[in-house]
Amino acid sequence: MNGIEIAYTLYIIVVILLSLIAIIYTRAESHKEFLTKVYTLQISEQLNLQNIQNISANNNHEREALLDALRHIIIHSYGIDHSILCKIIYINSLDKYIMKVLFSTWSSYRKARMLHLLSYLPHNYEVTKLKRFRHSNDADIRRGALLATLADNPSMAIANISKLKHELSAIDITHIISLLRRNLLPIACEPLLKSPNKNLCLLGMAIVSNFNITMAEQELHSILSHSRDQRIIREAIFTLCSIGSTLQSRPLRQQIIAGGAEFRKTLCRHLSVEGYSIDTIRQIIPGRDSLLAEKIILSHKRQLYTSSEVS
Amino acid sequence: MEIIQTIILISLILISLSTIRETIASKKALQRLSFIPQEMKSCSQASRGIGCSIICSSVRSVRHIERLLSIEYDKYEVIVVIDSLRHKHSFERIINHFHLLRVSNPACEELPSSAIRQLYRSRLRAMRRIILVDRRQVSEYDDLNAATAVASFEQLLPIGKNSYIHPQAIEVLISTISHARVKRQQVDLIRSSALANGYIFSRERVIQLGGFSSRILRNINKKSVACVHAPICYREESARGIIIRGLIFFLLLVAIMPFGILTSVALLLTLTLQWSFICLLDSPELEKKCSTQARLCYLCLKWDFFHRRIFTIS
Repeated sequence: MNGIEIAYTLYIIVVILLSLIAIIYTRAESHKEFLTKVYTLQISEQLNLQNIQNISANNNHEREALLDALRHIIIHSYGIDHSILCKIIYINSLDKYIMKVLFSTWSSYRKARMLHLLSYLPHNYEVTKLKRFRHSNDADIRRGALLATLADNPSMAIANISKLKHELSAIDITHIISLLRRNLLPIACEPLLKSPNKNLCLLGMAIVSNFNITMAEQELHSILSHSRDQRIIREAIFTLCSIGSTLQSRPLRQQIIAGGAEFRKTLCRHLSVEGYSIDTIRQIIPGRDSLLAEKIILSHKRQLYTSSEVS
Repeated sequence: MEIIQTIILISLILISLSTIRETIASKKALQRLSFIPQEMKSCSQASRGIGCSIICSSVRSVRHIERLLSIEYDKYEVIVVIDSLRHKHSFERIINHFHLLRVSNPACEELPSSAIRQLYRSRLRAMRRIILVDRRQVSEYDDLNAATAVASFEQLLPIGKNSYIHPQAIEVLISTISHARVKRQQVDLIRSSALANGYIFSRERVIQLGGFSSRILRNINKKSVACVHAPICYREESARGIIIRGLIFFLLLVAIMPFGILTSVALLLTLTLQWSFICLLDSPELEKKCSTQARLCYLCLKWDFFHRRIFTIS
């Protein structure tokens, strides 16, 4: 065989091997999805009986599927008795498995996944050992470590969030709100709105809009008059819209004028879709900028064309 | 002869490496989307008001529109542009199926090229996310401009005749915009090359550039373009398209045969490798038929060396 034939042969062998690896991986993934569905069904049925029997995972593949099933059930349910789920976790040593994978894997996705699972599942592990992950460059790992810390010690939630050096994104805040909804974090929103810490202020505004706390309107207007941060101002305006505020204040109008033409157009569209009337929008957004809102509202209200039939 | 064989081998290696790299990157990107909370996938309040308008040109099938409407996100609408005089039957079928009625349509000053004859919305609350625009058919870019003029949301996702939105496209949008807001970055275009070339444009930027055109991608500043590996949309090839491409591939195989059996086997195995790696991108939400179509589309894109690098949805 000459050189080119050897090269072709090697190429063919490598391609066959890689194709087999890809096919095996795909089949393993689809088997894992199947196992997750089976486990979810089994756990759901036995939760009603308040007794967990015969739910076991004998290898790492099954443990991953069982973890997904547990997470799926916790996300989509409310008020579950955690002692029942704890039995599954301890019988199958899932908490030890999570820690083993977390500290041994090189994949940042798997690290982040294990950290997110820790925030959902009841466990006995010392969360202080997760401190090193809170300063990771990977946003998902940082978020997972934060959520695991918050879920483990709810009383220190505000202190932990205030110490963060990075800014929370909308995804981070939504995860924290979901912890609130699972009654893991008892946080009042008023001190958060008044806090000089940006992350706490953003969290406070998210709580106001998620739980429709109309009593916080005054604090939001106060934020608009004192804050210089564009993201905080934008969030405050959209939070006021979400609680159905009348939006009649001088600081609000000043911030809208200072926001620029693009921001006013965005706000026009948002207010139109949120259901504000044309008159209210004209009062908030001066000049020709409000014409855009008028057009959208008239169209949304299905203002019928004067002709009675569709041609 | 040996030089040509070497060139063919190097080309096959490059194609294989490119496929492996892209599919692994897409798979990792899809895995990362699982960290987006469930609330954000359906409620825009959690994502702080991010909205998406799907603007369609040459979409005339009711089934196609229903599939586009299957996304469960509240700030989402589908704007279909159709010429009622040229496609009368399709137009009437859409009107009847979605219970549309004519609404007023004031002229749009932002995009002068978007003259619209009539505008329709549904009288049913369940169908409130569909808008039908009746205008004279000139080009796909004018159709997209007309849809942009009536769009209610900030982000625009153009869809053509055989294109469908990937079930996780909204999550891609939310993830990209959320991260950009934290970094104070302006994102005018989200671009994905996974499965099919998908684009999500910022409405304001499109208006500033004077509307859609074949050169719009070149006019957007590269610093405000976010390249993502997760798929945004996929294309279904028509049976005729698949047959033509199959014939071209067969002719390529026949042309390579004189260079030796090993060369032909290498070509066939490269195709097999691509197919097996594309299977990694299967999403549980994608129906089986759609995933097969999406894979075929990606294969065709990978072997289409001469496709024009301009913005097009056809």
